This record gives sequence, C-alpha cells and structure tokens, in this order.
Amino acid sequence: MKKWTHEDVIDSIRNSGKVKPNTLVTTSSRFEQDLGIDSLDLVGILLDIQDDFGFEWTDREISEINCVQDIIDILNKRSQTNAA
Amino acid sequence: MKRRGSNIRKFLMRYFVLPAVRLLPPDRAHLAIEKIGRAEFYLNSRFRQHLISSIEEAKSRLGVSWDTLSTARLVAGRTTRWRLRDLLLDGKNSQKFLESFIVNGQENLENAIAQGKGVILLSNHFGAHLQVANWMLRRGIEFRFLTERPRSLSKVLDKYFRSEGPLGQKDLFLSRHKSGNAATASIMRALKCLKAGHVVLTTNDVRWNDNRSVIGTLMGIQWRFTSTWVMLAQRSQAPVVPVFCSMRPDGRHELSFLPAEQFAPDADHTKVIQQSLDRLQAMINAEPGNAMEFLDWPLDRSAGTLEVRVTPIETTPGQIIPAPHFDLAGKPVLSDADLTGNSH
Repeated sequence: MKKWTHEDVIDSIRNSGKVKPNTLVTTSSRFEQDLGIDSLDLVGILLDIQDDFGFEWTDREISEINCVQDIIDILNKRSQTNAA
Repeated sequence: MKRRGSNIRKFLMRYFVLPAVRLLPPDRAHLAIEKIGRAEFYLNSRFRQHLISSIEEAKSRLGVSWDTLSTARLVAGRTTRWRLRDLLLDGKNSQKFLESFIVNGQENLENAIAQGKGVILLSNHFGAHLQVANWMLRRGIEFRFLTERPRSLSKVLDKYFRSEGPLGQKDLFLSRHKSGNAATASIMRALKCLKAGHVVLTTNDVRWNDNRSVIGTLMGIQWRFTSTWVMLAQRSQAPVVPVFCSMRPDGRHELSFLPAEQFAPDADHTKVIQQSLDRLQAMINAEPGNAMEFLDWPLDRSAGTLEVRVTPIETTPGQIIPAPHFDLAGKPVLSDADLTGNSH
C-alpha cells in the first residue's frame, strides 16, 4: 500500500468530481449530509482511492464509512497492519 | 378490500391452480395461465377498463397504431403469466425447460464471456425478464443479479439467490429501503464479480432519483433513470450485452442476446442510457403484448419525483395547472436544462 497523508485523501475526494466546487472538505465532513454525496458517488470516490493507494476495500470497511475521517482511520489501520 | 381480493387470488393460484398446471409441459402450462388472465379480462370490468385506458394513453403518447382490444386481451393474459414470475418451473427438468426457449445471438454472450472481463448483461422489465436468469442457471452460466431481489421465486432460483461469500448473491441485491452504505457495498461487490469474470445481470429501466440519475425518455415521458450500469461498464471495461426475453404466443420464450457494446470511460451517461431506452422502446412498440410493465407508466401517479415535471405555473388568479412538458406529438416543449433546473 502506498504512503499517504490526510491531505492526499482530501485531495482525492476533492478531485473526484463528485463534490461541488467551493465545498469545504475537511476530515469531519460527512459524505451525505455535508458533501451531498450519495451511494453511487461514494463508489466513485472509494474506487479512486483504491486505485490511488493500491488496495481493495472490504465490505465491512465500506459499511463503516460516514465521513472523511472514517476513510483516514481505515487507511491508518491498514498501514499499521502492513507495517506489522 | 382490494388487498383481500388479491390475497385470495394469490392463495388460489399458488395452492390450487399451480400444482395442476405444473403437470403440463412448460409451453402448455404458460398458455394455460394466459387463458386465466384473459378470463379475468372478460370477467373483471375494472381490470379491463384499466388496461384499455393504459393502452389508449400509451398509443396517443407514442403515436403507434396498436389494436387496443386485441393488445389489451394479450396483455391481460401475459400479466397473469408475468405475475407468476418463474413459479411454474418448480419440478421441471432442465432439458424440458431449455426446450421451451428460442435463443437468438447466444454467440454474443459467449464471445463476451470469452473476453474474461466479466459481462454486464443488460436486461429490462420487458416480457419474461426473470426467465433470463433461469435459462443461464440451467445452462450452467455463473451469474449475479445487481437488482432489487425479485419476490415469489421458484425454489431453484431462490436457493441460488441465497449464496453467500465475497462474491455471493445474498448481499449483492439492491434495495430502496437499505440504509447506510449498503448500496455502495453492493456496487463494489458487483465490480469484484465482474473482475472474477462473472456475468452481472442488471436493468436499464429502473426509475431512480440520486445525484447520478439521468433524464431519459420512455413511453413518451421523461423520467430519471439510474446510471449505475453505465458506471459499472466504464469502471470495469466489461462488455455490455443487451438482452430481451419475450413471451411467445405458443407459450415458449424467445431470448435475444444483442451484440456486445463497450463504453469509453468518458462516455456521456445521458446519451448511453437514452440509446438503451430507445432500443427498449422499439421492442415495446413492436410487441406491446410483452410491455405489461410499461403500459402503466403514463398513468403512474406513484412515480413522484421520478417523472421530470416542471413547476406548476399560475394562469389565472387562484387557478394552478401543471405546465405541459410535451406537445401533442409527444415532443418535449422545454430544453433539458429547463427541465433539469425546474424538476422536483
């Protein structure tokens, strides 16, 4: 799995084309309520992150995602597992 | 009261009619069921009147010259056949079942599978759409459904739909009622299934309202349609094979696999979806007797936000009428931008 920073994740979401221009994306942004992203949009974002960072999401991980921070937490967990 | 009548009919059909009709060969069994539907057409005036109104409305919107009464009779019979889904197949051996199919373009499906990228089998609600799954199951073709879970199924298909595991069917079904990221997970799973080389069966005529739904015209009316299958095709680069399954007058089914299509990652969703809807519309126009699902659409008041309507305009004080969004020839009178901007 590629090395990454919080900014990489936020950039990936911002550049996905699913978030309206001028929308503030922070780690606490909730996909549906704050960013107006629905299930199909989220698929696009998760696939972009999957391609950019070189791994495959599990069903369980997908079910845990509500906000940007959730993605960061999952990536953290994966990084720790890879390092161990 | 209406529901009670419907439940009684279901009970009689399931426990008395079906066991008897199942003793017949598949084609004759289907014809017997059609006759029950036609009898209902003559006996139930509300049903008859509803069908005739639907067909008249569709004719005026589409500018087609169907014979109303014969189409209505045909649709009545086929509706009963359609309501039974695939329940007639329980207990039928595969050989007898497969013999009741006329298959066109099977090589289109086989060539697409041979590419090894998975196949998106693009179905719809025309004719006997569930029989596509039964045909593949009995031909030993591995497939998955990316649709809502069909109800009232044969035991064989029901068992197949309960398969679990990372590429299993059980968690792949979509639902308008599931919460959270269930739909996201289902679509991601479908991509995994395609990657594993499976056939993923989905539909192009699902009216849906989300950020990615696009406006398309079917039955002379503009609606919002899901674009999930286009996104899947673009992401996976899997070939898309359109399929139609007609109910034939002799009780058999005619399965037609069309040549595979492939969509570039930047293909315009609206154009792609409209092309697929135009193909479906051509089938409906040619075989209205297989269009049971669609004849109701122009009169469907439950579709709510799915139909693209413009905001009502005030004409005279106190009088509000909906602005027409089609002229008498069924053409939109406003641009797509107008319709999108004002839709609700």
